[in-house]
Amino acid sequence: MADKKIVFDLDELDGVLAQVLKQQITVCVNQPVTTPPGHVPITRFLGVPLIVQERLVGAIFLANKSGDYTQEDARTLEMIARFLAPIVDAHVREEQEKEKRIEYEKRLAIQAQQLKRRNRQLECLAGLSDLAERGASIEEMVELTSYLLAGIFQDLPNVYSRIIFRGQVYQAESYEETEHKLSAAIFLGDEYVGAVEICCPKELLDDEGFAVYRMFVNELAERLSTVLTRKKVEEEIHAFRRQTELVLEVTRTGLSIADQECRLVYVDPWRRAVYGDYRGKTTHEYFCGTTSPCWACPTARALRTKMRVTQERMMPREGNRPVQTTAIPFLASDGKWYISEITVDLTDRKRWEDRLVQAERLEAIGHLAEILSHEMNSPLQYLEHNLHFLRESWQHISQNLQELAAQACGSSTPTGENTLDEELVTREFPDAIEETLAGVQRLAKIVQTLRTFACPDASEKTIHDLNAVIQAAIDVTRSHVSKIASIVTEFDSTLPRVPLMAGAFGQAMSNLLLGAAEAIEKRRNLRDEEGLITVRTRRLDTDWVEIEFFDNGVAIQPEERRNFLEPYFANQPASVTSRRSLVHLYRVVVEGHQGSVEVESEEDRGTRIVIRLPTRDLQEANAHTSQLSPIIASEQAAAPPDTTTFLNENVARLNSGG
Amino acid sequence: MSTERDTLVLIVDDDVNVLRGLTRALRHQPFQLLTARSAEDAQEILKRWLVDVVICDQNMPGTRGTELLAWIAEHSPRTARIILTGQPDLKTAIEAINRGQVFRFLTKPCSDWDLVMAIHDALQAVRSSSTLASRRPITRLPESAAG
Repeated sequence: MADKKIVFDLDELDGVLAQVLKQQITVCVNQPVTTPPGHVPITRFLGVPLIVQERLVGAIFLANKSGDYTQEDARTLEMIARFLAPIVDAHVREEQEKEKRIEYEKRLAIQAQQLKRRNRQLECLAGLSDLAERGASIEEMVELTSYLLAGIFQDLPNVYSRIIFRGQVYQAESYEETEHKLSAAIFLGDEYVGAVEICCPKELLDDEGFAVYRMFVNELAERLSTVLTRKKVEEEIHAFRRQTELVLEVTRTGLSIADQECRLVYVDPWRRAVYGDYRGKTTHEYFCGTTSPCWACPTARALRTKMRVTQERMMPREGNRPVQTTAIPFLASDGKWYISEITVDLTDRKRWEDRLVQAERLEAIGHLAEILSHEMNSPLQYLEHNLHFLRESWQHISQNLQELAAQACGSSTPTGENTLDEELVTREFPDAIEETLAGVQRLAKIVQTLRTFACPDASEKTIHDLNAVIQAAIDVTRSHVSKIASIVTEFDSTLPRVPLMAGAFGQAMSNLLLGAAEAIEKRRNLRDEEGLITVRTRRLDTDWVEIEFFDNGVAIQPEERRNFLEPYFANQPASVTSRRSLVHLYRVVVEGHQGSVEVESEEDRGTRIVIRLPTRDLQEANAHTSQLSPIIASEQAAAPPDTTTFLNENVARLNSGG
Repeated sequence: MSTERDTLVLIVDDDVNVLRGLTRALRHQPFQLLTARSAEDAQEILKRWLVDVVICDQNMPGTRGTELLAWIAEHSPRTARIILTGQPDLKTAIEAINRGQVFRFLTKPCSDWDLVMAIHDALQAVRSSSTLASRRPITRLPESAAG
């Protein structure tokens, strides 16, 4: 019996059973029926189907009654069947429900486990992102990720995970190498740096539930690559920024960036340390402490003109150090204008320039000594002769007074040596006295000129006759220059007296003369030509006077000309020597007197230097004017950057003002 | 004395006051004094007269003192040359000695006495060398005859 089939498919059945079940009718057979082999022989048969709502739920079969089955039996069985059918039906349904529920619970359990695993995976990925945000280093992130990864597989025995990164292996102590591995590569940018690896038994690899881990390994490796790459880029940017800021700090260079409302978006750290938090502040609020930008504000001007603006100024909150600020406008990728402002420290340059000026002063004193030795020695020479002459003559006269008196009256004729020479009295004597006086005056004048020169430190401006100051400079250098060139002066006699630092200005003038002489000497080496220096003064209007300085020496080289506009030019002393002291001139005229200097130099025509000076002291005027009108003229008349024009803002302001 | 009166001393300086001062200082000296205000004037005089001593300023516009002395050394070698300069620098001194072959190098200011002494020394030198020079052709004659 054991090998007998007890469950049959409905379609397989035939015979009486099938008739009952398929046709759902009562079947009564009172003779033997064929049975499958091994089946108990059936001599008589009665079968009734169990039907609930026209649906077959079962059947009742009776067999082998001692007598025949009757109509009565069939009806009785049908009655029993009608009674039994709902009970059987209910039972069958209950069985089916039970089966379903068990299967459902099984599926739920699998899903819960999958969810749990997925959750752990997500936790791992989230943990990685979290680590990145918390600013962990790349190595820390790799290490902590390896712990998170191990946590995912803690419920799976014989599954081990590890991360290999730059030759370093991050794995648990219990790690065991197995034959089968899931692995995904980690990249840093384009560089292959390591891998995420999971070792597991083979059967687990075939398990459907485990398949999600294949995806996860790839996902984790990818995420790790992204996070680490971003971290690396961030670190690089950070390092670069630190480096840049270090350079800025070491060179005492300031860098700030402002948007089109002049609001600061970046300030270098060391100025942040001085000025505090910059966020939300405008440049003028932050650096100058003013509510609106002043007329000279380079940022505002650069925004207005969309052109590079350079400005020299003092920083009062940084110990009054001199700086040069260059505001460079640029159009950012967001379509807005920004201004980056670079502030270069000029302390060294000023120091160098001071030294240059000092050296020039020493040189000027050297020249002066040379000039003086000649200028003073000649008068001393004839003063001595004349005084000797006068003394001897006077001795002669006083010794022979009586005789001479008589001779003068005409009562006595001159005899021997004791004659009074007519010429001596009428010509030589007064001449000698006059010449002596002239010599003394000349010495006095030299001493006076010397005094003007000896105190060029006086930074106080006093009202001076410009012509006289220039003449003094010419006088001082004449003995040197006149050997090389002739000096022509055309002085405007109506020139107003101007506020002048006479010493410094006179030195600048004499430097110009000596520089011109040097240039002419160079030209003379090239070809024989009469050297000529012309100095002209004239009055421009009520506010300005002009000094034009011309020489026909060799021209100033364009490189040199560019040089003295360069902020770092002072670090290249070689270029200064060829044409002396234009820097000094610039400082004296533009910074000292708020004037302007223009240089035109052509090879065949010589060099023309035009100096303009205000007739009023602009510094003082500035101090008294609280409201400054915005600067316009200098921007509109802005010369191309390579022309040699020192235009002080005050000049333009005055021009535009009237 | 009469021979000394024939002695000519030329002073060259661009500063007329210096010339007149020197004239006064040397007015009692036994020689005739000539003055020139430039190297060109001096050259004119030297072409016309046999000048015994030249006193020359170094620093003059145009031709400089040492250049004039060099010219004199070439064209009138018998003239003794004295330089009187307000700028006694080494360059001038070297040039004066090498090119101008000066007898004395005087610096301004120079006292009457020093100047007079320098001129007398120069005259002395000129005279002795001129006597030598006048004798020279005689001593040389037999040699040339022999040759």
